Amino acid sequence: MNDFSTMPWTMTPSDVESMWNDAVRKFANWPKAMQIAKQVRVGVTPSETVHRIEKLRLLHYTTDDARRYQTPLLVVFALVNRPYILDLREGKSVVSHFIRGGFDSYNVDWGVPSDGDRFLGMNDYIERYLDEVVDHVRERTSSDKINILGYCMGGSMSAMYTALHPEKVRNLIMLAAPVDWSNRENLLAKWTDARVFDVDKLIEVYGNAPAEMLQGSFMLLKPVSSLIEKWFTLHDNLDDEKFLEDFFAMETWLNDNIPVAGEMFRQFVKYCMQENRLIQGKLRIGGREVNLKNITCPILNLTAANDHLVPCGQSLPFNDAVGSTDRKAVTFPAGHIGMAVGSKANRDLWPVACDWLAQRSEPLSDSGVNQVQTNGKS
Amino acid sequence: MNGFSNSASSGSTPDPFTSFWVDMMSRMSGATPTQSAPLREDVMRQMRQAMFDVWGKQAEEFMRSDVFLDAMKRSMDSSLAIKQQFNDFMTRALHESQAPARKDIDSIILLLRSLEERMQKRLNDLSARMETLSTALSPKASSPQPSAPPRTKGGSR
Repeated sequence: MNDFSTMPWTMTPSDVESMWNDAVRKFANWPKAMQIAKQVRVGVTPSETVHRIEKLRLLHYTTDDARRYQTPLLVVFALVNRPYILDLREGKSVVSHFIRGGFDSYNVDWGVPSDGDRFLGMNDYIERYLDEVVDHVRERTSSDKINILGYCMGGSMSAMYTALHPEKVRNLIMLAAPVDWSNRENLLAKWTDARVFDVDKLIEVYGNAPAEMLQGSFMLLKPVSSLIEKWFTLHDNLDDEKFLEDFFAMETWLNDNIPVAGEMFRQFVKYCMQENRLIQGKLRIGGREVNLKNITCPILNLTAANDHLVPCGQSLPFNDAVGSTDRKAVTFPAGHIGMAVGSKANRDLWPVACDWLAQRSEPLSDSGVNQVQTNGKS
Repeated sequence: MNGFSNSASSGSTPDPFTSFWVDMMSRMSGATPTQSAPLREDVMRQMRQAMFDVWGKQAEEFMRSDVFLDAMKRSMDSSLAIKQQFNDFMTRALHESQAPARKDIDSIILLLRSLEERMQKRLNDLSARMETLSTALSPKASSPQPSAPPRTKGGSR
């Protein structure tokens, strides 16, 4: 006969008492957890808006850290969700690595598109907004070229921009950025297949890509993890203040969804995700062909080994498609968001990326220090 | 082929629920205590994680299946059709009450964008001609470069 007392689900009175005490202790922590949720702060590095184009804001990170490089860094995030994911919290901030490393750092906040922005397309976002932002940063820092760090869709857009304006980019860092959609094995590729997803009709009817639809889709990519498992994890860690702060900061970002301008969404899904034009050199923006071979600057391509949104197979072909000779690919054991906010990535990956950029950026001369300070206060 | 395929499964292939159940139970039974936590709690957590892993795996397999993709397409087509009908109704209702509908505002936006593009193109042409003229008129064609980096526009605004 089996000894059922060894089965984990067979409770002894002391187990029941222990579980009851644990449950009471965690339940008593709920008010504190709610307090933390209310006080959560995201986007921790101080910044100022130095330029605006319609809804777009160019953020400049203000810091006491000494600048060591003339070449500034521009961070370009995706049009989905908000850009503060790259500066979420202390110890989980990508931009803080570069600021501490001596880079004058900027971040593009694309703003929240309204119904009137439904006709904004790739030409507007890349040739108009991004080009004006890059020119502004160049002028402000008296640099001929700038460094660009593009994350996710922002990385794809940065690659397109660099292909169109190679003379303005000194180094390009791609972070979990898709460029080749020929591999259609991941779930998102299945869902966005032209036979299943009529993006033209969606945009015709809704105008912009609705935020709720985007959020729901991303959540459904990992339904058990997003809808069930994380709440158990929260319950397990209700007495861990540090965990709660990180958890609610992340939740704030995950639920801070914005719509994507309709024409941009349509063009990106149709031309890139469905027809895979970018890697084939068939994409045209503003009448100009986007040829990745035009990119000759040093490339650092960072991919996440466990990325469920952008698998490595969609990012790594970039290094073979560009005309650069100085190119490096790093596949890090993290997920799509973990690359930006994971403790391991912040400890092991970003210092290396910062060193890589430092070796390829122009050091700041003494006269340059004065110039940057003067321009910075203008 | 996965268990959620439309085609009929052969007699030797277990149905989706059986394969899910067997996979979950076998993973859960693999839970073993470690030194890091109290025995019972640790084993329970491992079993819970194993259960979630199998749920996640099955959910993904289902969402990749033709059944799910067909259902997704049908539901999206239906909801877009309803929304389209609602848009059409609103357009008619607003027009009947002499008010502009979204369609009309969209037309104005497109008109303004077109005007902006044409003006931008014209201005670019004019500035190029001015530059050519001033280069031709100036005796010092190779004058010193400006200190700030030049702005070069790649596309039309």
